[in-house]
Amino acid sequence: YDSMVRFLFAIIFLLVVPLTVKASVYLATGSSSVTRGRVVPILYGGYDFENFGFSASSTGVKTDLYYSNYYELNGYWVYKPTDFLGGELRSGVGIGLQYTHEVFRESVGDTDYKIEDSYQYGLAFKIFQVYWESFFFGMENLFGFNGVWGQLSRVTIVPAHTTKVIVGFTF
Amino acid sequence: MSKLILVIVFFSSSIAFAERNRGQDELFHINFGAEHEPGVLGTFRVGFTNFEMGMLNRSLNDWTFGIAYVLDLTPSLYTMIGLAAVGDDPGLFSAVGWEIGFWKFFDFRIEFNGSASYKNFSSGGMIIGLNVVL
Repeated sequence: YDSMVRFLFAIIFLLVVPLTVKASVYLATGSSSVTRGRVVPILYGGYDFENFGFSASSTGVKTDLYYSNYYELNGYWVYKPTDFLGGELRSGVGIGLQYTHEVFRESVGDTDYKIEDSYQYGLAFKIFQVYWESFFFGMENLFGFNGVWGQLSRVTIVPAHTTKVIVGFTF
Repeated sequence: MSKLILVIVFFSSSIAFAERNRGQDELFHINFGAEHEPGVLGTFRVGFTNFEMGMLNRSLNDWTFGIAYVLDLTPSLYTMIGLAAVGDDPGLFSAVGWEIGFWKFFDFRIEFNGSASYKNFSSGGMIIGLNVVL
């Protein structure tokens, strides 16, 4: 739970900073493909300056046999918003990092836990449709190029990717 | 050796700054490309102005069909957002890609895309393909 507390402090920090400089803040929830097949809410916070932005998100699951936490941090070059369907499209292209912490055991009574930490890093992008400058929905993707090299050995060209669908508020 | 490097730099820079054909004068375009396994059709779309529709991507046996809007960020960089059916369920589609014109009405594309349904089933990956601008 310490890591979750630190993450919440980071979100609070993200909320305080825009009081001092001009920027857009995004607070949202949604689902991530790291828990593919189950809709597990994610916590999402983002922050756009005029030309640069970043975002942080987290989710996790827990059962009697295992738990896993996912953390993601992305940095973007932010492009000029474009009017679209009565709102505006905001997009960014950049790089991202995802950290996964997984702990699991063979049976409920087993005290021998196995821990696996892994990273994905590579191309990241986001595209949001914003209405009334306060509500938005959209997607954010991360393509792990370290996954590409592993996949290339199996003669495929699929990067390991994480897709998030998010809905939230911006101010 | 230095001549070879010069040739590579000249060739790669001419590609890097080449503009795409799509969106200049012509309205229609057909896009297709390989995803996952080279030689297997990963996407097939028919485009009109800045909209594309068709099979947006595929993941093993799950195909994503839908319509998406292409937002041109620079003369060669674009991003997309759209509505899609991911397998049997409705969802969203998004992509970012790099598209350059390399010969007459042919554009070369490298695209990264992802789609997800409301049930959190997702598909996507990298596409290497062609865009034929009609």
